[in-house]
Formats: sequence, structure tokens, C-alpha cells
Amino acid sequence: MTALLSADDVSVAYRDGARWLQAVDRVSFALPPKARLAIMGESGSGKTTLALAIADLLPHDGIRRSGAVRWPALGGAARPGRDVGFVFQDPMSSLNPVLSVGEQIAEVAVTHLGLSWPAALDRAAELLDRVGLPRPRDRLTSFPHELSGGQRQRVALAMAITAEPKLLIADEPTSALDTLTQAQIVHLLDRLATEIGLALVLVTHDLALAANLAGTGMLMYAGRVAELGPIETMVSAPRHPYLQALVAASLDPDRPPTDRLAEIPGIPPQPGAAIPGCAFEPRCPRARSACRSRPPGWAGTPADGVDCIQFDQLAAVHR
Amino acid sequence: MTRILAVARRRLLHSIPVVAIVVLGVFALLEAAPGDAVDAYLVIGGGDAEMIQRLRQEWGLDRSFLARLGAYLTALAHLDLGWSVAFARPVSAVLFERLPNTLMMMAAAICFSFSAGTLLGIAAGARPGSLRDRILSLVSLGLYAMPSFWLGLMLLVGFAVKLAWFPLGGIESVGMGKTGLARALDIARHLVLPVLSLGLIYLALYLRLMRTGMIEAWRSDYIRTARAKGLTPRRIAFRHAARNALLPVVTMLGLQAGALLSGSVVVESVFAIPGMGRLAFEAVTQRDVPLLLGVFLISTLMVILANLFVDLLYARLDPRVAAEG
Amino acid sequence: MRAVLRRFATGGGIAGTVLFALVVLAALLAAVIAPGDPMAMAGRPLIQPFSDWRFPLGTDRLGRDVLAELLHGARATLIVSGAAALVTLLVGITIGTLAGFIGGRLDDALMRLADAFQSVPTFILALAFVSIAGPSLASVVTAVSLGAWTAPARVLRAEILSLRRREFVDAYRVLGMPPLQIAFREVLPNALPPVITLAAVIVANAILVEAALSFLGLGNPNSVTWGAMIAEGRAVIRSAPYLSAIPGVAVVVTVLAVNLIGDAANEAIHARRVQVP
Ligand SMILES: Nc1ncnc2c1ncn2[C@@H]1O[C@H](COP(=O)(O)OP(=O)(O)OP(=O)(O)O)[C@@H](O)[C@H]1O
Ligand SMILES: [Mg+2]
Repeated sequence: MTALLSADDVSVAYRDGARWLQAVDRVSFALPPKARLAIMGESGSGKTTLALAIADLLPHDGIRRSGAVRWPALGGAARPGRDVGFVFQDPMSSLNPVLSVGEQIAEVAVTHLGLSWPAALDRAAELLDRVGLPRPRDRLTSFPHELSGGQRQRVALAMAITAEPKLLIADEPTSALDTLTQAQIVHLLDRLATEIGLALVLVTHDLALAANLAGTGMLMYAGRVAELGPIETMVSAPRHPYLQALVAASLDPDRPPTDRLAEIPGIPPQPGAAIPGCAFEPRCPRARSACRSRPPGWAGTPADGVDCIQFDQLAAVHR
Repeated sequence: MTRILAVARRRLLHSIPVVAIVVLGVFALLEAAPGDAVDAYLVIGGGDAEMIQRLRQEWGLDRSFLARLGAYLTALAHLDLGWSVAFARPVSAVLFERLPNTLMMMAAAICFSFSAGTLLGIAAGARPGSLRDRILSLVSLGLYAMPSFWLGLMLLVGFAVKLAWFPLGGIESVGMGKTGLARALDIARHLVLPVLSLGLIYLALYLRLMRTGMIEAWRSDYIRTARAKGLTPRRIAFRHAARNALLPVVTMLGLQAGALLSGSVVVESVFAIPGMGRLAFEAVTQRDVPLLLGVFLISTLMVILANLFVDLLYARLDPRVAAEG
Repeated sequence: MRAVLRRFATGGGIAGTVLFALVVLAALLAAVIAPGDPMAMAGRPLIQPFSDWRFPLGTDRLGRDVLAELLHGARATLIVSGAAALVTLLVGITIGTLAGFIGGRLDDALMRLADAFQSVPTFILALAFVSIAGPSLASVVTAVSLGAWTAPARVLRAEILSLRRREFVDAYRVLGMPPLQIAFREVLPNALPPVITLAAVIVANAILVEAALSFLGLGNPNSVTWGAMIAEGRAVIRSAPYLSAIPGVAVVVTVLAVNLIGDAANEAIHARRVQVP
């Protein structure tokens, strides 16, 4: 099947004074229509940057990027808002504080569906109903500060699906919410994606949530893909030492239930640091001297593999 | 709408003590002025001791402080601001004759500086650090340092004396018998230079404020959302970024009302416009204290009204302004 | 402190400091470069600038040396605006401190008073005051301060209110430090920096108000002022516009310098406050 989205060696660096911080480093993957990908990784590993790069939302200044994001199933570039919907992490700051909820949803319909304003507002009310806001008509004239966090995220979701896009990118859509609301929003996301036939890219810290919602998992470490593959095998048979540590830690019965990725000992490398070998090596329980001197190679297929020298060698033997 | 009405009620209540303080202050200044109204009257008319006594009695000047204050307040309540010796007419009559010219000039200056300032601020804030931004920022810094009367004089030399594009002064050409549209155009031509001298300085302020607001807005999350929604750059810039950046600029409008009234004193003098500002100056040169304090009182009330209006406008523009509190 | 200075030394901050230093230098050297009474006739009237080396900036209608007037005007401007800023800050700090520390009814009353003063168009207030009190250095300084004290008072009050809620104040209270000592030794010094940065705004405003008063003939009658020079030039504005233009440029340069310094200082201090929450 033609992929909806394919990323080839996507790299993004931010300018920091005279240096460049490599936030995303040669990431490749493909996403079929209606498929669901969960991007995981600890804070600063480049998840948001990758998501923004896919949706072509990175700022223009102070950025260096390379690689390509293609949309084979669309036969051209994806238009933000039309083909790709985006839901951000913080529902308070991501809505415009001085515009009504109705206007903020309706303007998407006016821009992409060519509706008149009254028709677009009707559509906005339908959407609010669909994302489960009570009394949707009355809500049209509400302002973001009058809504709760969960309601705001529902509004953001309504905005993102207004033009019935092919892909919905949700960047930690629930981490600013309380546990109960989180579950509701996740359920809603799942339902809408199925109903509309959306492909989903979900950025999350939550391994269990990823396993529940997505078919494919991608674990990032210091801007690189550490492991990519079917999410069940990633959880049941983790290959990358980092993922193994994470899964082990998340199974720890003493760990309090949180939405954060389990903590493992050590700290990630300084952004912008020059690393000749594997970035995870200082924290890796199975590190060898070779890990420090040369970068790991990708072991496996483009759709299922690990970025670790041990698997690379195995693969080499097979070849 | 009920929210805005609540804000209006709150602000009105808030203004009452302010107005009271101002009125008391004006009365105190009247009392502090050397000589009283009778002295001033006698300078013009002359009179004997008996007449002085009679006038003092008639005007209540021989009574106690509190009684005088009471008389002053009663008169104020009847819109009686006292007697202008210089014009030999009631202060209120002179004032209300001059008011329209000043109001017209102020309205034009506010419209000009607000619209041009915000638009240029949007342009400058779109690309901070660009050549366009640097030039605009430099020009606004320079304008912001200019005394309005000097700017007016220089404009006068350049555009009225040397180039003769605009008249040298006055509010309209006298004795031409113009009516209707022709008269309006004539007045507009007379107002261009004074409005520029009053407005350019605030244009600079609005430009700077709007520029800062736009830079801040461009960095905010809701702009990233607007881009993710695929809105047109125009809509993002004006409906989303500028709409938020406008808020701090709007709060300045009330301040500008006061500054314009202050500025009108010198600018109306430079351009010989018979308005309220020049009236204040005439009152000073003719030592007409009641007239001067009449201008003072009316212009302060105008500023309080303007601020009330600005507060309502702000509440209208920013839904986060709460009804109570 | 050194970090604040480093952040201050931006293009604008340096340019402002240099320009302001030039004005100060002009004021200091006025008596050296142009000794004698600047208001006395020095040569032929209406000599154009740059045409006679004895009068580099020409002479005015009464044959007074424009350069001498300009230099002495710098002195008058700096004295009036400096004094006005000092008085304004003193009054503002006193009222702001009272309102912030004592609070309650007094705070309410003082803030309504500030509201009233902020509603009066400053220049009309200054005009009324000077015309009633009579023009003199003291009345001009008072007139300028009357319209300006509210800004430092409000800023200081707000700072004090926010500082009083901070933990370190509680800590001192727990340690048994007397309230007055906490107020004046610990809270006030921390609340002052943002008020001090207002000084630039106050000085700039004072220069402009003083110039306008002088322009209308209500300045200090005992010294040459730039505003009076501009007014004086008006009589011959068609034939000798330079007479009004030159002192105006001096006003613009001085106000610009002060504004640049103020902006840079504000940014430097603001950055520090963001870093140390
Ligand atoms: N606008 C920016 N300018 C400079 N550096 C940035 C910018 N945005 C992100 N970075 C840096 O790029 C790296 C990756 O950031 P990114 O936000 O993509 O991480 P993330 O995985 O989404 O983290 P989190 O889980 O905290 O959201 C980080 O080191 C971050 O500091
Ligand atoms: Mg992120």
C-alpha cells in the first residue's frame, strides 16, 4: 500500500548562539494510511521537534534541517490544517485567549472547506458536540479561559479534525490534564481516529498508553531513533538496552503509577555535545569499548529495527 | 454584554472619588491664587470701596471657607464655572465655544497615530532585526524625543512657509464664505500640520508598543496553533497576532487623551488655532485664573471620560477582564 | 551588578551614555567656552551659522551668541530636569512606601489621589501651577514633579506589595526582626531598582515639560533655556529658521540620550530579575 507519510533521514538542528543543537538526527520511518505511530522518549529527546518537522511547522529562523518528508498517498505536499491536524500539549496556551471558541474552530472550516461563516459556525457546533462538549451551541461564544483543561483539549481536538485530515498529530495531548480527564481524552482520540479514518502520530511518555492506542512504536534517544517496530513486540520483547531498562522499570511494582516514562539511572547527553559513539553508552549496562568509538548502525528493516551495535553485528553476520 | 456593563458600573463608581479630588484641587488652586475674582474684575472695570464690598457679598467671597466651597460646588452643579474677566463672559460659554476645535484635532490625532502606529508596529514586529525594523525603530526613537511644539514649528517652516502646501495657521480660511464639503476640506487642510505635530509622537509610542507585542505574539503557542490550522498568513498576522498585541496599545489610548490636551496648549499656540489649549495659554497671559481652572477642570473630566471609554473598549477586546473584582 | 552593567552596554545604552555625556560636558564647559552673560549682545544680529568663526552657530535677533546660549541652556535644562527627577522620586518613593507598607485606608486614599493626579493633563497642571505661583526655578521644578510623582509611587507600591508576600520577609519575621527594620533594610532596597529605572522616563519628561513651559514664556526667567530660544526664534522663523531649529535639536538629542539610557537600563535590570526569581 502507498504510504501516507514517509520520512527520510530527517534532521533538525536549532541555533544556539554560535553552536547548533542537533534535536533530531537522521530519522526515517513510514506511516501507512490509518496507521498509528507512538513516539516515545524522555524529555528533550526530540519528539516535539520531529512532530513539528513532519507537519512543516518548524520556525523558519534559527533552524537547520535536512532530509525529506513525503506524502505519497496525497500526491503532493501535505497542507497543515487540511491534511494534517495538530493537537498541542498545553491546551491553555495553544488556544488564542481573545477569540471565541466558535471562531477558532469555524475559521478552519472557512479556510479549508470554503464554508461561509454561518455555515462554518454550524459545523463548529457539530464538532463540539462530537468531541463531547455539553451544550455545544452555547459554547461557541465561550472563550478559552472559561473552559476547563479537558474541555480546552476537546476544543483543540475539534479544531484539528474540522477539515477531516488524513493524519492527526497529538503531542502529549494529555500530560497537562488530571488522570481521569486523561483517560477520557485518550478514549475520544481513539474513537475519532477510528470514525474518521485518521492516521495517528501520538507523542507520549506513557508506554502503556502507547501500547493501547498505537500499532507501531518509536523510541527516541538524543534525537535518534533507538528502536522502531510493532508496539507489542517492543513491550514484550524489548531489544535496545534503553528500552529494556524502561520496560523493566515500568514493570517495577514499587513504581508509583505516573504518566511519565519510567526513570532510569543517569542523564541524557548535553544537547549539542559531540558524541563519537553511541549516545546511550554512558548509561548502558551492556556497553563495550566499541560503543564509545563508533556510532551504532541501524539493525533491521526500515520498519522494524534497533539502533544498537550489538544487533548491528548480528545483522552483519547474517549478511 | 452584562460583563461590559458591570465593568462600566465599577469604573464609574471608581471615578467618583477621583472627580471629587480634582474638583477640590481646583477649588484649592482658586483660593490659593493671589487676589480674588473681585480684584480681577476691578482691574478691568475699576470701582470704589463700596462697590468692592457689594461685589464680595454678591459673589459670596466674604463668607467662610466652607460656605465658599459650598457656593463653588452649587455653581458647578449648574455648569457655572465662574466669570472670565479676560473675555468678559462666563467661563463656560468661552470654553464650549473653543471645545469643538480641540476635540476635532484630538480625534484626528488619535485616529492617525493609532492606525499608523499599529500598522507600522505590525510591520516592524514581523521581522525583528530586519532593516525595515531597524529603520522604523530608529525613526520612532527620534520622534519620541521631540517636543511637539518644536516639531510643529519645523513642519510649519517646511510645509507651510517653504513649500506652501498647507496654510500657516488658523482653523479655516476666514472670509471665503465656504460651506459644506468645501469648508470641511478647508478645515482638514488646516488641521494636517497640527495633527501631525500632535500625533507623530504617539505614533512612535504605539509603534514601539505594537512592535513589542507582535514579537511576543509571534513566539506564543497560539500562533503555532494558527499555523498548524493552515490559516492564511494575513489572518494569522492580523486576527491572531495583532489582535493580542493590540491590548497593551489600547491601554495607552487613555493616556494619550491627557497628553493630547497637554500638547494642544503649545500646538494650538504654534498654529494659532482657537481651541481650548490656546485658551489655557491666553488665560495665563491675561491672568484669568477662573478661566484657566475652567480649562483645567474640563480637560480633566475629558480625560476621566476617555479613560472610562478605554476601559470599556479594553474589556470588550479582552474577554479575560472579569465582571467583578 | 557587573552582569547588569554588561547587559546595559548594548548599542543603545552606549550611544545614550555618550550623547548624554556630551550634554553634561557642554553644561560643565559653558562658562569656559562662553564666559560672560549669554543673554548679552555679542555681535551683529542674525549672523548665519557656520559663516563667522567667532559665532559658529550664528547670532540671534538681538545679536546674542547662539552657541553660548545653547551651552548655558544645557546647564539650565540639566539643573531643572535633574532637580525635578529628584523631587519626583523623593515624593513618589515616600508616597509609594506609605501606601505599600501601611496599606488599608491610607493606601486607598493615596491611590485615589494618584488617580486624580493622573487624570489631570500634566502640562495643563504645570501651566496652572506656574501661572499661580509665578515663574521661578522652584515653581517649574514643582510643576513638573506634580505631574510625575504618581508613576514611581505606583511602581514602588506594587513592588513592596509583591515583596511582602515573599518567603524571605516571613523568614525575617520568624527571626524576630522588627517590622520597621524589615521594611527599610530588607524590603525597600529590593523594591527600588525598578523605580530607579523610571528616573530616565522622569528626566526625559521633565526636559520636555520644561521646554514647553519656557516656550510659552513660563520658564525660569533668570536663565537661558532651550524652550525660550525656540520661542525667540519664532519671530524670525521665515528668514532665520535655524534659530528655532538648533535649540530644538539640542532638546531632541538630550531626550533621546536619556531614553536610550532608560531603555538599556530597563532591559539590563529586567533580565536580572528574570534570572533570579
Ligand atoms: N525553539 C528551540 N530553540 C532551541 N532549542 C530548542 C527549541 N526547541 C527545542 N529545542 C531543543 O531541542 C531538543 C529537543 O527538544 P524537543 O522539544 O523536540 O524535545 P521533546 O522530546 O519534545 O521533549 P519534551 O518531552 O520535554 O517535550 C532539546 O534539547 C531542546 O532544548
Ligand atoms: Mg515535547
